[in-house]
Amino acid sequence: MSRSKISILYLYPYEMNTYGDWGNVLVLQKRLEWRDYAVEVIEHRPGDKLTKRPDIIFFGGGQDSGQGLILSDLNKHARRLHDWINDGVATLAICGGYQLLGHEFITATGESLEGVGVFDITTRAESGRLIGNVVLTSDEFGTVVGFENHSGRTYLQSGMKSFGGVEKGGGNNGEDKKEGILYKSAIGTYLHGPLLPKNPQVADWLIARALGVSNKELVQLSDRFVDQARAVITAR
Amino acid sequence: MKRLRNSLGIAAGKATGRTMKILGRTSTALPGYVAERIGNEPLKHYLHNRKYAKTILVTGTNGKTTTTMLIASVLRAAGYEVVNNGSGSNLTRGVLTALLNDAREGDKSTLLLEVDEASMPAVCAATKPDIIVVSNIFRDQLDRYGEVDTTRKLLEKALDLAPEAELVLCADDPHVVRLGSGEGRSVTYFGLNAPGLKALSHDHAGDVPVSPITGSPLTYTHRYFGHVGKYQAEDGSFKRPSPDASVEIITNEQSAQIVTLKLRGVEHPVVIRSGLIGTYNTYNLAAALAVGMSCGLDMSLIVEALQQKNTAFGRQETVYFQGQRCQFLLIKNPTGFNQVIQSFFQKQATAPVLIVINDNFADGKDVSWLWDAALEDLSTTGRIVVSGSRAYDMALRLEYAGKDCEVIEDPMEALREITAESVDEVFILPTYTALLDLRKQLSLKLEHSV
Repeated sequence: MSRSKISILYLYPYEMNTYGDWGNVLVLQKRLEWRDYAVEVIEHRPGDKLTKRPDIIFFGGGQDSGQGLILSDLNKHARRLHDWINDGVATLAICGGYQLLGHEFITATGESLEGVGVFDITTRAESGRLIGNVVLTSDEFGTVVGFENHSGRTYLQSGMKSFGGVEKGGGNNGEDKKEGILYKSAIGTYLHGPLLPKNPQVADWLIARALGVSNKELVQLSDRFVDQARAVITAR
Repeated sequence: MKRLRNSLGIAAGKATGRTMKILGRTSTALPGYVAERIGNEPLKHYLHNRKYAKTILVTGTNGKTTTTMLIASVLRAAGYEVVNNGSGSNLTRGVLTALLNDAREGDKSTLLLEVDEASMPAVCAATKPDIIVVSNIFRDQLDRYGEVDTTRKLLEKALDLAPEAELVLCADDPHVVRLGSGEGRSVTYFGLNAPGLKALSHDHAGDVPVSPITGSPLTYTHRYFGHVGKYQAEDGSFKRPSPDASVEIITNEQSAQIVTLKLRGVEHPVVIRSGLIGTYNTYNLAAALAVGMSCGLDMSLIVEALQQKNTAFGRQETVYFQGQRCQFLLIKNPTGFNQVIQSFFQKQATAPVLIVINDNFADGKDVSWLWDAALEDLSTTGRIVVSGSRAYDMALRLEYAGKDCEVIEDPMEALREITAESVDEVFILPTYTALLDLRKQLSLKLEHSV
């Protein structure tokens, strides 16, 4: 039996796509399809219209040049994205996408790029990059593993909840032992890897939010290789 | 003092190389490393008074080793001695090692080096090259380089340090073409005119290039792989240059391809029959041919040299294990992986495949690149076995690509298993250190280009 179609809005798939981030979209799509949901991935490129409220939003990381290509389009749609995320649309934003959902990003040259402003964060670029394997722990997701590679230092405003506490790695800024943000049904994070293949609990949390069900109501999947793939990172 | 330290470093490096030779070991980086630890800029110091008939550098993300090997074959056919680093050891220490191990110089000697993008500025400054070849610029080990733009800027910096060098550039990669825009620079372009060739449907490995002049997006009439193809800026400010050496026809035969090229200003086409398969190798052949042209060599001599049996370290190298024919296809980044898929694993493929993924420094510690490779397009009726320190990451990737695979963590055990059954051929796709390990365990002699 096929149920209603789930839509995934994939923001700037060509401009903001590095470190295999698109794999997150693949994981969301497959885990829905394996549970008999039909999935529609809507690729949004600069200049495209953005009208239909999606079930899930994905916004990946990009190079500086990629960010330059999308900024004016993002500003055009900022209000709508802001409202959707505030209204509880399941969202995953990685690295550049995470930064641009915040208030502002201050570049290495001191220029301020205005973000969507839905995440209560600010980011500034610094010369040293935080690069390496990361292990987080959180109440919602248990242990989360990934790989970070960023020069931006992000600071959560007071009262904002992080995606996880840093056990290993740099995290948001290399100082406060926090990584990412968890806001309503949205996650912002620096974790590549990509994030979702090795953290299916995070993928299923987003899916449950999108479907409006609890995690327990989701059909369990076999996930044959996940435990061993995670073990490689946590063992180091 | 600086000079003394450099001299000491070089002496120590040479001694290291000799010792390793006595011990029966081949040195690819250690002597250079030793010299670098003691000296300040030993490469520059060493090259200061040395003369070569030609100095040629080959760089870019993919194709360096094979292109270098092909150029070496052409230069040898023309009667030159070739001093080069044929094992893919292409950081400054590898370059220096090659030089410390091979002291030949003079009118009959050429210096031919494949150089890692990050080492290009230092190597350009030290060698003062006559010709620089750039194959393509793709994502590769981003944990080491940061971003693709960073790689391009590194190469721009390197080229600024070699203002006299003639450039041999791939016309089909806009990131590479940007490098040729310097004033008064002599550039030879090579490229591909293959309307029938299409990128894999799940090719995510390209980056969106823009016009370097206006920032306008590029549109493609043909896309061969990644961001390589025929393109022009939407606002007309930038377009693919017409190649001086253009591949026009590719015909595939059993374990060979016939490549027909058109050369600017030459009436008759040039035909090369090569054992090197795949689109990426047509680029390597065209690049080597263009270098031969730049050196003013006779075309029939160039063609003959390119047709010789040429295989580089781990690139389409054939070995026999338990009597079973196996072919190594090195994979290092999404584009390289995609090209292997495009060339060897399309619809009719039946060969079993062993994929070995390590994440040592030389492989890149970040394995996210596996998700940028088009595993969805990998097609074979043979079994798929995955191995290496990140075997389970590969297995996970294949699971989401809808491909069934088995995990055998130990690479030698996996190799024994996949060669147990007799078939025409087994393909082994290792990352760089996985290739080194397997070759070592197979006790293969390190043989480079002939």
